[in-house]
Amino acid sequence: MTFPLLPLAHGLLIGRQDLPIPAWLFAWGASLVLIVSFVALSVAWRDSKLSSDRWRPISERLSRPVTGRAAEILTGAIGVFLLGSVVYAGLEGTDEPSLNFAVTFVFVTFWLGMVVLSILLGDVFRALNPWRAIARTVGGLFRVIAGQPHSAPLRYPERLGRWPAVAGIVAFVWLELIYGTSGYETLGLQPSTVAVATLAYTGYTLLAMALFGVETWLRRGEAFSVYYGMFSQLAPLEVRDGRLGVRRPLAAATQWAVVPGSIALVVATIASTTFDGAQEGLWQEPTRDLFDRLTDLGLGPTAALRTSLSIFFALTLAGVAAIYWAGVRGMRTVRGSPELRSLGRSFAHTLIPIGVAYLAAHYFSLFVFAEQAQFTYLLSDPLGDGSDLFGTASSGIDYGLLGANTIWYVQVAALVTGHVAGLTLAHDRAITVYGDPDRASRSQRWMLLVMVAFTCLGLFLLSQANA
Amino acid sequence: MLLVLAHVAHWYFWPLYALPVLIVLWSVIATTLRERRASREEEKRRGE
Repeated sequence: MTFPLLPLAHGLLIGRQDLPIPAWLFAWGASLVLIVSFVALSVAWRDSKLSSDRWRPISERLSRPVTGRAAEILTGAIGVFLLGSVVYAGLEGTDEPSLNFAVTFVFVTFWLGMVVLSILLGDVFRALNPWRAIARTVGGLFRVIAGQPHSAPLRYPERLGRWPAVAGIVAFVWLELIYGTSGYETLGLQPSTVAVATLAYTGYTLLAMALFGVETWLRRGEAFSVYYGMFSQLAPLEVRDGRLGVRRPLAAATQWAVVPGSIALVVATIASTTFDGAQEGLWQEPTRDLFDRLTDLGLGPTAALRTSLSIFFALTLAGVAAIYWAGVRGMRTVRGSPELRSLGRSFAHTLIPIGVAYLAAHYFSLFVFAEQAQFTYLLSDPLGDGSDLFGTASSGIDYGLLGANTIWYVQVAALVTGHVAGLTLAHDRAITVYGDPDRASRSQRWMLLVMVAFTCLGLFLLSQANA
Repeated sequence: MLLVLAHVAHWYFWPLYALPVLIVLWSVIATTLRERRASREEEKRRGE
């Protein structure tokens, strides 16, 4: 009878025996922090303080170098150069993903690094956006040649809102997590696939910009502009009418979720990270079972794996949406609540800090380790062909830079901070929606439940992934 | 098969993570029901 002993192969405390207390106790502690925060908000936060972001311009001398024409041309050129580098490295460089600049740059430096920059500095991606730079250059040339500005031939259907961007983000995550890899079996996302996908997205984006107008598409359909734009709502800096200014952190988010597709975008953000964590633990065995069933039915192994993972990704999206809508439905029980859809949209922005928390908790160590590669050997040898442009090609990743406990504490801190920020945004919005602080607090018991559920889920997934 | 069983241990621990959620859920529902009952009784008293 050896097999019943095997389940305890990782030990009684889920493998993290180096922690001073069991991992699950952190979930209890985090929940307690949220409950105390909820009580403190109910008692002390009696008026809405975040309805206005109180933006004020900084001095023209500081603003101009950041927002001037020269800066716009320079940042646009950097964006186009990086886009070209990804395509070139992907097509001409080595097939080994970890040695090719394109893969790490797209999925770590760009995908995760731009989130960090957006939260700290505002909508940086707007300046660096290569598709915007190309479209504006082409538009400028058109104006010179034709003697008139290009006008968009189609009117963007406003009811679509941010849905095209949601589809773009889900497709990107699908490419990264399902087409490329899975939790237990690497199919391998080839650098050439990244290059072809980049080219395809470039063509699609430029066509959409030509049809609907550059600014309209950037606001609604361009997946990365909308995605990073969402995170930039938390930042203390914003360029408004060509002038850089400072504002209250978090406050701009309160005006963000006014268009259709906003809830879906923030749900997709949380669900993507949840799925990535779950496929290393929670979804591992169910995925394997489904994979076996599909291969028994005659599906090839790659198709079976991608189908299984796609189904569990869809389930994760549905699960995250269900947690949020359960909280909104609960809030509806409070007298004087608006109708369900309007209430759901009113509180969607409160999930943005949770999206950040999930990203930080799940990818912190990956980011620290992969960026060492990005700025050493991938920078000097972007094609993986033995070149040494900056003399750092022989450098490696120092995995001793972060201990397991440091990573865990950062993960817990990120989750707790993000959820407290979400709770604060929700409480402030509730005061605006319900008009009186007592009814607002009653409604926010349900958002407390949502926050505790997301915190415990996040910690459960991390404990499994770390085990 | 061995790999499957080696990871089963992880599943044992989900109730420990679910417990805080269930406690908050129970307290939210209990408080909501208590308040509703109190407001119904208040209305009834006013009606009398």
